[in-house]
Amino acid sequence: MLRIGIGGPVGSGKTQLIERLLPAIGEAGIKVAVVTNDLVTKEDAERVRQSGLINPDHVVGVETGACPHTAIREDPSANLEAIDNLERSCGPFDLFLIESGGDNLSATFTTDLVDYWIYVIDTAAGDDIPRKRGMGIVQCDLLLVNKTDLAPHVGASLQRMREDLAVIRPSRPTLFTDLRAGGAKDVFDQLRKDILFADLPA
Amino acid sequence: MSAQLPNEARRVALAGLQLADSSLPIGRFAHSNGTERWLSENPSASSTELEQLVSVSLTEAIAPLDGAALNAAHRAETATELLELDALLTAHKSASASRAASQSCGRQLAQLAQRLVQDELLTDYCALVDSRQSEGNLAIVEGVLARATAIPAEMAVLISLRSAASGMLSAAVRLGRLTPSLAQVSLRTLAGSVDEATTIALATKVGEWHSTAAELEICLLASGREEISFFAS
Ligand SMILES: Nc1nc2c(ncn2[C@@H]2O[C@H](COP(=O)(O)OP(=O)(O)OP(=O)(O)O)[C@@H](O)[C@H]2O)c(=O)[nH]1
Ligand SMILES: [Mg+2]
Repeated sequence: MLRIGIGGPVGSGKTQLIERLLPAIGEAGIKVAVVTNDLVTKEDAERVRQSGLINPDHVVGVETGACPHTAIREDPSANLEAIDNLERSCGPFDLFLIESGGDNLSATFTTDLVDYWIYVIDTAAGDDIPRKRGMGIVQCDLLLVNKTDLAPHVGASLQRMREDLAVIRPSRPTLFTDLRAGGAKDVFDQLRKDILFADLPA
Repeated sequence: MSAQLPNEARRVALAGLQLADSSLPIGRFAHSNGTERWLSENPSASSTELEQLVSVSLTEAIAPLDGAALNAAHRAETATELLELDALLTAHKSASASRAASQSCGRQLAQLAQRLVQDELLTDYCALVDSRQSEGNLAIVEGVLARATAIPAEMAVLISLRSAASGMLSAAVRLGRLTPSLAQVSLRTLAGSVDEATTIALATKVGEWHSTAAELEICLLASGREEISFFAS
């Protein structure tokens, strides 16, 4: 069983990424479950449950209290329990996608919880975001610079972001995405390349 | 590095400090044990009133039930006895939010405990928790783990009650209703209540378990129905 974390600031596109990945994951015959971490409501869990992209029983929302980053790093026990409960009621899964509650740039996932993690940032939050060298951006296994469609409207230079990221993440992958318009095929291909799906049919 | 083991007193103190450590990853931070609800219903409550709530919760609700259960678990000789204590404790928890908090934290501690110490009773009991034959209430797991690490029952009860007090205060801090420094002042002020609660827990026999802090019980019964909630309980 493989566990992938998805982190990033509020509204950057984490849930959208899940919605884009689910069809490709389903087509590949991977049995997947989704765990969302919501601050105040179970909104994200409800949204994924009602998306029609996944068996609603395979989606669970975890209330993380007033500290979203604690639940993915210092004390992931609520998420581990949710994973355990899902497997007890639905049998083993091939893959868990765990969406963190939106947080600041220094949120990171512990390997007690995930095997691999994706960090999603939003071009509209400013093209200087990479330069701020938040731990999430520096340490994640895969960085998504999302909402590329919005860059021209907010005066964000994708070229500048590319150059900065080449320095900050010289050897780790970064993808530029427009998750609202497009699918997430390149993200799925990257996951295939980086982690265990290698044995699955292409 | 010296291969020498720490002396017995220090070893016990270290085990106790570890059990008390708020960084123990068992999900305690996600539960306010009714404090959140109480604060929202008492929007202008002072830190003195919050201290009173914590004090009453300790002596009327937590000590005569969870504290007493921890003490009994510490003395249990067999996994079957622990299973019975676990079921009895669940039966005494009328609020589902309180049951959920106790079991979710307890099960996480049970998993962690097996990596911290090798002990036959602990292993047997944790197997029952893992297979869900036993509920894994926090107080029971704490009692078994404390015994396995040679922490005396009295100290284990004291630690558990102190953690409960500190958890309620830190919920108030995270909700922006108490400053972190004032929380420490309150914890210090509450030392007498923690002490009194410990005495109550140690004196309450298995047939006498009860939990009667009406105000908090109502908050726990009502929690979950709250539209906006930062804590699971
Ligand atoms: N223009 C544009 N909008 C996007 C893109 N990706 C996501 N969005 C929109 O951005 C908003 C937030 O997306 P979500 O996926 O909910 O963001 P999130 O990171 O899950 O947000 P939280 O869970 O609240 O932290 C939604 O309205 C999406 O439709 C994108 O590539 N371009
Ligand atoms: Mg989301």
